Amino acid sequence: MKPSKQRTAQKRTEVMEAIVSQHETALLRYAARLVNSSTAAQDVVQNVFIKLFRKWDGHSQPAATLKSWLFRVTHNESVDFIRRESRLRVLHEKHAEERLATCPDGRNCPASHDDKKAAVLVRLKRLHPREQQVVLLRLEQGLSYKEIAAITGRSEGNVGNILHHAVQKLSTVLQKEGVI
Amino acid sequence: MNCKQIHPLLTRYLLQDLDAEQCATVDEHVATCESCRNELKALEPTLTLLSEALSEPVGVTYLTANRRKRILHPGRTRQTIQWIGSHHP
Repeated sequence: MKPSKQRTAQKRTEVMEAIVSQHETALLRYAARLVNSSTAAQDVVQNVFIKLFRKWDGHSQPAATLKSWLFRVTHNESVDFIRRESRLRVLHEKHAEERLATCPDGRNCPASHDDKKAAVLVRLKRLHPREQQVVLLRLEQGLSYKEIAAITGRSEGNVGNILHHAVQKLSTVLQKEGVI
Repeated sequence: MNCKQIHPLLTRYLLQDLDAEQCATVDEHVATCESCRNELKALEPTLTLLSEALSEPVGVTYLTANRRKRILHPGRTRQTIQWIGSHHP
C-alpha cells in the first residue's frame, strides 16, 4: 500500500475507533435490555457498527444524526434478534417469572425491593417493542423527547403518549399482581 | 383542560418533563379532580421502581476485543479465513 493510502486508511480506522468507543457502552446497555442477554447484545451492536462502516464514506457526520441512526438500527437489529429467538425468549422469561416469589393466592408478590425491580423489568419486556423503545430511551438513556422523536420517526407528542400508556400499563399490572 | 387531555401529561409531569405552563395546568386540574389525582398517585411508584430498575448494571459495558477487531478490520478477518482455507484443504 502506498504511504498516502496507508495514512488515509490509518486515519479512517482511528475515526472508526473513536466512534465505537463513544457509543458502544450506551448501545450495549440498550440492546442488552431489549434482547435480555449480554452476549446477544454484543452480537447486535457488532452488527450495527459493521453496517455503519460498510456504507460509511469516511467523512464524519453530525453527531446527533449519527446517534439517532445508531439507536434506530440497534433497535431494529434487537427486534430482529428477538423474532429469531422468540421460542428461547419465551422460555427465558418463564424462567425469570418462576424465580419471582409467589403468594399463597397464586399471585406473584415479590418480597424484597430487588425482587420488585426484577419484576418490573419482566413486565417491561412484555410491552410492545415500540413502548419498550420509548421507555428505555427516556428512562434509561435519559434522552430528550426531541432525540427520541428523531430516533423513532415519531412526533414529540406521540412519544410522550406512548411513554404514558406504557407506564400506565405497567402500573395496572404491577398493582394487580401485588408488586406495588 | 379535561381529564382526557390531562392524562397523557401525567407521566411527563412526574418526570418533570413539562414546561412551567403545562405544569401549572396539571397542578390546577389535579387539585380539583380526584380521578386524575388517583391516577397520578398510582403512576408514581411505578415510575420510581422502573427508574431504579433501569439504573442497575446490565453486565456488559464494552465490546469484546474480537468483536472490535471484526468491526475495525473486517477485510483482515476475510483475508485470514481465505488464507486458512487455502492452506488447509
